[in-house]
Amino acid sequence: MKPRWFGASGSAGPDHAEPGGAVVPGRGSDQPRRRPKSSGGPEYRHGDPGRGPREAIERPAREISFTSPCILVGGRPVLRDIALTLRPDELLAVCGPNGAGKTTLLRGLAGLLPGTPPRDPRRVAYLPQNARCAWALTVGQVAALGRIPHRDSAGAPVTRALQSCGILPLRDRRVDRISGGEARRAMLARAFATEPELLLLDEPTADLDPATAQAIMRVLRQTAESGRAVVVVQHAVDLALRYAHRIVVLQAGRIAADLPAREALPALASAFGLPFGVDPEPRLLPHDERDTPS
Amino acid sequence: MIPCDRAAADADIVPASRAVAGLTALVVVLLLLSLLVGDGTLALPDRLILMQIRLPRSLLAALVGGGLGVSGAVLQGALRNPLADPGLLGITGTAGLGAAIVFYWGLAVHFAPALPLGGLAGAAVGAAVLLAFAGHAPSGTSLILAGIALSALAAALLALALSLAPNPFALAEITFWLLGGVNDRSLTHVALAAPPILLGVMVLLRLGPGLDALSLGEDTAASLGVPVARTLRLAAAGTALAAGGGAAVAGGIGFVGLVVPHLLRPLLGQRPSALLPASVLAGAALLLAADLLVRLAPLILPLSQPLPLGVLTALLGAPFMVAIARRMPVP
Repeated sequence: MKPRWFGASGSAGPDHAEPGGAVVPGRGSDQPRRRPKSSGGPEYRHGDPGRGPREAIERPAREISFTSPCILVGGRPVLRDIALTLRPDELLAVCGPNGAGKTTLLRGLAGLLPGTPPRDPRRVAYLPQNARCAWALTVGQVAALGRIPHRDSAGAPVTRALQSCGILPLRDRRVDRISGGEARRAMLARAFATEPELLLLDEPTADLDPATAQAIMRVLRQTAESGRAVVVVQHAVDLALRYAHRIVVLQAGRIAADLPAREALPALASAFGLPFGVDPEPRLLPHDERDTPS
Repeated sequence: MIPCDRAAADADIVPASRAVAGLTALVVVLLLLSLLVGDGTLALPDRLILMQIRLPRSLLAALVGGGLGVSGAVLQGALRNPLADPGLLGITGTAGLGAAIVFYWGLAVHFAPALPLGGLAGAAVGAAVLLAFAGHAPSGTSLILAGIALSALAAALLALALSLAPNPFALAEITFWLLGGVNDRSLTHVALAAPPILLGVMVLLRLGPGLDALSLGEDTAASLGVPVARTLRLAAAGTALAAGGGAAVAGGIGFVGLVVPHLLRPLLGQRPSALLPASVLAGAALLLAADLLVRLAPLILPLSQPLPLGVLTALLGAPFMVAIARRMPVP
C-alpha cells in the first residue's frame, strides 16, 4: 500500500516571523508553555530580501498533513495508520521506544521513502540521526550547504543560522577540529540555513551536554514560534516535555498518543513501561526561561 | 545565543580562482619544457621531431593526467572515500583488458588505432557492467563493491589473455603496454583520446554542487534536492570517459587520480567542488612532470630501456600515499 500524502492544506494562524526573516527573534519565549498570539504580518522572505522575485515570495501560513495507512521498510511494515498534522508555529516532539518507527516517520515526512513524493527542498530541511560530514569542511561551509536547494550563496541566512546555533565565532574552524557537540551544531546550522517552512530533526541533541541540549531545544522552540513547523525526534523525555508544544508518542509503528506536551507524561510513561511521579531528588534545572537569549 | 569562546580560523586556504591561475601557468610551463626535452637529451629538436614525437607525447600527458586527476577528485567526493580512484572502479582494468584483447588477436598490426579503440571499448563495457552491477539506484557503497568485483574480473580475464598469448613477443608487448606511458604515440592517438577525455571532464566538472551535498551522506543530499543516483551514475560514466579514454591510449597509469586530490586539499580546503577545476590542471601538471622525469632519467641512471611512466608514477605515488595516510586524523 502506498502512503497517501497531502501537501499544504487548511489554514493556521498567520506567520510570526521577523521582518527580514530572522530565524530566531531575540524574544518571544518568556512564557514557554504558551503558544504566542498572532503578531506581525506575513513578512517572511526566502533568502536575502531583494535578491529576486522567487526569494521574495510571501509565505502563506499552512498546515502540513501526512497520512499513511502503512509504510514498509525492507518489506516489513514499520508504520501503520499514521495521520499527523504539522502546524506552523509548533514544536512537535516525536518520542517512543527504540524501534518504534520515529526515524522512519521523519524520513517519510521528508519524502525520502520510496513511494513518498519528494518534497520541495527549499521548504523542508531534514537532519538525519548522527549527521556528519565526510570531509573536513569549515563550519561556515557546512552551513552554506543548506543553501544548495536555493541555488544561491546568500551569506545572510548562513550567518543567521550560525548565530542561532551559537557557532558564529567558529565559522572558519574545520569540523574535524572542534568538539563533537560543536560539530553537531554545525550540522543543525546547515538545516537552519535553508530557512525552510518545515524542519525535521532526528535527535538533534543526542550527544550534547545538558546545557547545550537545553539551549538547542530553546532555539528550536523559538524557531517554531517564529512561524515554522519543527519536528524533533527526542529521546530525552524531559527536554521534550519542557520545550515541545505537542508530543507524539510512537509505539510499535502506531501513534499511541498525540497530545499537548503538558498532558503527555502518562502516555509517555505507558509507552516506555515506566512509572511516573514527582522526583524528590535534587537535579539539574534548566536556565531561567525568562533570560532573553543574547 | 549559546555562549562560545573558541574562535580561531583553521582555514587559510587559497581562493580557487588563484589556484586555477597558478596551476594553468604551471601546466603551460611544463608543456613548453616537455617540448624542449627529449629522451635523454636537452637539445632543441627539429620540426619533424617536435610535431611527430614531442607534441603528441606532451599533449597526451596533459590530457591523460587531467582526466585522471578530475576522475579521482570526483570519485573521492561521490563515494566519500579518500581512497577512491579510477582504478578502484575497474575502469582502468577493463580498458587494459580491451587493449590486451586487441593485442591478442593481432588486430593492431593491420590497423594502428585498433589498440586505443579496443581500450575505449573496454572502458565503455566496463562502465556499463559497473552500472548494471551497482543496481537500479546505486549508492556509493554499491558502486565501490561493483567496482572491486569488476576490477577482479578484468584482472582475471587479463591474466587469462596473457597466459594464452600466442607468442612471447605478444606477451612482452602486452606487458609493456599495460605498464603505461605516453611515449611513441602519434597525433592519431591524441585525436582518439581527446574527445572522450574532454567530454568526460566536462561531465565531471558539472557535478560540484551534488558532490558537496553528498559529503553529508546520501539521505541528506536527497533531502537537499540532489538527484543522488543520477549524480553517481554521471560520476561513473564521466570517469569511464575521462580515465578510460586515457587508459585506452596510455595504458595503466596509477596513483595520479588518487594523489591529485590529496595534494590539493591542503591548498584549497576539503570542499569537493572546490577541488574539481584545479584537479584537472594538477593532474595534467603531475603527469607532464612525471613524463619529464622519465625522459631525464637516462641522464642520471644507467637505463637500457626508458622507464615506463606508469612505473614511475607508482614508484613516486606509493610512498607519497603512505605519508598522507600517516598524517590523516583517526576518525
